[in-house]
Amino acid sequence: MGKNENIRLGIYLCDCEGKLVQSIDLNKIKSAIQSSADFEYIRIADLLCGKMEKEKIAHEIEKYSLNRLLIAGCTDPFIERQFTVLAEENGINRYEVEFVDLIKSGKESTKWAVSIISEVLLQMQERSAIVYEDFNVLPEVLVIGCGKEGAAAALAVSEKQPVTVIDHDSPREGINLLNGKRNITVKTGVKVVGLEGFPGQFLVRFLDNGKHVKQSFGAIIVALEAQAVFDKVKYNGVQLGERVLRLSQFRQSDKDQYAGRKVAFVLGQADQDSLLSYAAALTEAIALREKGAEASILYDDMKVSADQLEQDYERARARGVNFLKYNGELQIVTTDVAATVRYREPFLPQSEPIRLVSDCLVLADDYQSNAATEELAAALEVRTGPGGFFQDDNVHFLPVMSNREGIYFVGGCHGPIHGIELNKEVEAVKAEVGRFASGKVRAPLLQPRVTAEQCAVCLTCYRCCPHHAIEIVHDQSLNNMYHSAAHMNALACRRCGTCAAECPGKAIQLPLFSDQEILQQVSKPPKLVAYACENSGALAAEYARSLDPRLQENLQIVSVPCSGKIDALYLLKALERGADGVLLLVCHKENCKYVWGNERADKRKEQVQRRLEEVGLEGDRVEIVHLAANQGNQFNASVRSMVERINQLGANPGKVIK
Amino acid sequence: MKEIKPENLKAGSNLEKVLASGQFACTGEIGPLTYATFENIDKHAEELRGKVDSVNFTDNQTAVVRLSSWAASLRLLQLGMEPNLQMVCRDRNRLAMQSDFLGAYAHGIRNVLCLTGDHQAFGNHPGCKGVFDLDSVQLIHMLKTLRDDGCFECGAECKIPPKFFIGCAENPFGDPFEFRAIRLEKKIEAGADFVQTQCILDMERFERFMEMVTARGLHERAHICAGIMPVKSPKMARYMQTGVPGMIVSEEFCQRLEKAEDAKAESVNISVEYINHCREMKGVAGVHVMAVAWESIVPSVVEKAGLLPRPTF
Amino acid sequence: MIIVDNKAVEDVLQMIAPYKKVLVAGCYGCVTVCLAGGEKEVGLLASQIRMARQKEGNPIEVLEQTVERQCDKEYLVKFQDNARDVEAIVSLACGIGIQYLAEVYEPVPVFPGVNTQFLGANRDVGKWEEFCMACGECVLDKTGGICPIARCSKSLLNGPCGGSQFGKCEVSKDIDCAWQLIYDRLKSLGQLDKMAEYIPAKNWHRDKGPRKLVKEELTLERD
Repeated sequence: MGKNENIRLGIYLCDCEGKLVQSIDLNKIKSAIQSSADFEYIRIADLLCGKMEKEKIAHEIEKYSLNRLLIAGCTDPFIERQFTVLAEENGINRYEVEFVDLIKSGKESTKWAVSIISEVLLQMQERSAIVYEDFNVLPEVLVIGCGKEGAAAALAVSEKQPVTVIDHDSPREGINLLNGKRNITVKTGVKVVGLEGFPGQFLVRFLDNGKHVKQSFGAIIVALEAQAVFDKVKYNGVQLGERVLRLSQFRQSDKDQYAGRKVAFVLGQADQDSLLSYAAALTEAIALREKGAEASILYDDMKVSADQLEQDYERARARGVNFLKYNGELQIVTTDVAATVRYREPFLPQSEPIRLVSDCLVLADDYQSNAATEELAAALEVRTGPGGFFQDDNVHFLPVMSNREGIYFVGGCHGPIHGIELNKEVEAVKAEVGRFASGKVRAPLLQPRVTAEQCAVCLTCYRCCPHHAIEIVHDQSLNNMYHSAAHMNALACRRCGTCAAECPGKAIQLPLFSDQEILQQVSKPPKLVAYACENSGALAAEYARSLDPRLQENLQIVSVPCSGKIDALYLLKALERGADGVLLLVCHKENCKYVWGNERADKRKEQVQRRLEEVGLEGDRVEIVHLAANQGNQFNASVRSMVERINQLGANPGKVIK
Repeated sequence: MKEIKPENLKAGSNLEKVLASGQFACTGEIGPLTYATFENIDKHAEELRGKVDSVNFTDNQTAVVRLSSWAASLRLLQLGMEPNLQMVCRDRNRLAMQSDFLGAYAHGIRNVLCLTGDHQAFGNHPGCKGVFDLDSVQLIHMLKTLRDDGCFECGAECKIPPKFFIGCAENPFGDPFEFRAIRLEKKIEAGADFVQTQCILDMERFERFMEMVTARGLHERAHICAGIMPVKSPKMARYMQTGVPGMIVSEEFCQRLEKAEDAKAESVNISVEYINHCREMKGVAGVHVMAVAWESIVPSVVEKAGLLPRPTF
Repeated sequence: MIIVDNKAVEDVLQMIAPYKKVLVAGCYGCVTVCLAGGEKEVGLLASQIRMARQKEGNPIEVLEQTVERQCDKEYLVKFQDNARDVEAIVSLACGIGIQYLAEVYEPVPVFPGVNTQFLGANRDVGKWEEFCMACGECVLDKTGGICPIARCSKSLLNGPCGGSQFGKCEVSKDIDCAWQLIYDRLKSLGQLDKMAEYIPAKNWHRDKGPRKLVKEELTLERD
């Protein structure tokens, strides 16, 4: 039995199909843990993300009544997501699942692995039990866009939940796949104009063929497809016609007509940023071969860096598709009977251009965001990123996630993607919205708490929340002059703590990271205090410690869930209580997991520098470092330079030691 | 030339008579200096003598402290010429304004030009309290009530009220453009007898403005004088094009000065052209020639425009 | 809402130079909402004061307390324990709260920690704009709901001055011309004729000195 009788821990050690480095022996780890830690169940698996494992783990969770999981092996955000979703499907909250990455560059060893697993285990044991609450949610899902991608998402989700699909001013190519299907309602001439509420209980405002109507949904999937555009300038102004087709058009065509004919695909002139054209050309070429056509793919650089593409490429080769590499410019000449491309072979640069004659030439398109994107993003209050597509360009964001819980992106709405990626996304999104299928969601009450007495209802938190997770509630029991207070929705909040740090009344506290809990850590600070984001600085610190453990002797690292949680007060307090310098360790620009926490941190650093200078202290005692989790060396370099700076500045003359 | 009936005159100033008689009026302007002297006033007065019907004195122009407008006006009276006292709403409340009007009138000043005034932020006392107790429309209304009803703004009787020929300005180059003629109508409704427009450096826009003005028949209810400014240099023209709020200077105007071999001569030419153009334009009753920091050029502009000799009564 | 801005800490330090123990008093009203005088700002200023004085070798004790509103004496009572315990108070409330606090806790000296700016609206986090000057005689019915007294640099009542151009005020390109806004609004309301109406000279309502509002029907006094 564990120390805390409420905690029933399951430990999984994964060998990743032997990908784990030789120096780690899982059996040794297992026995080391068995001798020292308290847990309910432990197992070594060959490949934990394999297909059969899902059911097995579910069975084990039930059998051993597990309520916390530790998974050690190779991890990446996608895998973590799979397991958190799996855990939640089986009644374990995502906050109760911890991952330990055993494939880190550097010092992998069994001893090292035991130590980091033990550390995490200890944290898991000590953490007090989280209070959970059941929330009523609507299983109904809204899919915006009824192209093929929207149809794929709707079909998958409709297996468990009722789905409404609307066209939202976009092409309706998927509509035939949906008509008459169980659990699916299709509405055309309908667009979203507004959104209220929170995940599980969204109220969507529609313009339905000119009429304003509203309907509630549990979750929303955006599936507005990217639009193929053909820029003939990229092909020296070639005219489209019977002999020259766009790839996006060719995909719609009946392949039977090409039996016995020659078709050539031209890649590399357009659509340089996605794999969509490469994937499409491979699929089409294989299909042509099956119909008895001759197929050539003219490419400058074959991009196959995605699941399945490599196999498709091999398959195409095996089926006799010609792959022709070119270099530099192409010349296209068409006549009534043929289309000819003149190109240069990269390995024979001096030779004459080669002529490739075919009956039909298929040219790659470019892809741009759907024209309705901007307006829809504004209506849903979700963010857009590069190229006007949905979603920020942010490494922390999984492909299907938006900045709001309950709203997901599938397919080309967040950038052109090919079919295999689409299938993955559909599966991921199905799992996400599937949480609402039963009409109830169990969630931990870990979102920030508001003390109504101190809430001035100033709306600062509401405006600063990157996830639109805050509402103002009104109730006679709320003890302030407004009988109102901010309230963080448990299903929408991602616990970044930005609201708590922005609150001018100090009315907001984030559980596990309250002001008291944080300031306790700097009650008698060493020379240097570093407030570190859990997603970057704190992880880099962990790695950096292995590189140079002594460097951290005079350094207090205070972890926060996001740099948006680093209150200006924390910085001043550390200095007031005796630190000589303060570091903010935050994620790289535009790479905050919580959208803009690091930008808020930047501003707070500036504010505190100003405040220090106002009272005659050196602003340089505060510094911010943007880094990533794997930048241990950068961490050490930053600490060294800060220590050097502090040594030059001398002791902080403003410290008030009681 | 129309016959003047003395009983129809409101103030009986020379300017009023020129306009009432239907002759094309021509007024000038002198900016008092920022120190305690009449030096420039005496000098420019002699240059303008016999060349203009009355002379405007600016009131702390561009919100910079200068010798006061009424003191300068008084000096001109002593020199035997006719002043046009400018007054802005920025520096005085209704009490001070009315008291200044009583004094100015008692001294023999008969023309007043009522203005809002540049914001104090532009001047040499940017932090001072802008009064703006009244706006220019209300100032006109106050002067008219005083003159015609013998009442102060508070309603109390004024036994010997000042009877001024009341002027106002209007800026055809400000926005909202469509409102500018309506605003002028408000001023005329409030009591303005004559109008001096902002200087015209974009004739096309002025023409469109006058179309709106004449469409409303405003030229029949007040005498409208077009603002003419000889601009000393191409640099100055460019500055006015970009640096002065509420001004529009046409590209053509700037380029003509820039391309000219003798910019000053070209500037005089343009002013003369504009005056001649305005004379032909429906609804324009005269010109107000303001040569800021170049007062000495006015006589030659007026002469070349064929506006001499000035009428006498 | 009343919008305030923080005074330079240097000025605050000057005010409290003679004292060894002070209270920084916050308010959960307007000044919290405008992010200048709530509990958070009280904490930040208190830290700054302590560090500044420590640096000078002249340490000071700083207490921190915030109440609902400093413009109601019933809330000011909450300061009594701390107010008796200190030599001076720095209030981060608006000018109203500062004065009321000084009145209630005389003879403890009370100093302003903020400059009270204007009556305004909150456009976004960290952005405020003056909307009203409490002139005492609202003209918004005539001006399409946009106040020319507060939002025109010259408080003109009969349309824009000659300095209005491209929708901006002559004072700065950062200021919208209130009369352009009024013109546009009235146009969209189909009430442009209101622009032609003469608005007479205004009673600025300070004619009887500081204003008081007494509603006999509401007071607790009896005849």
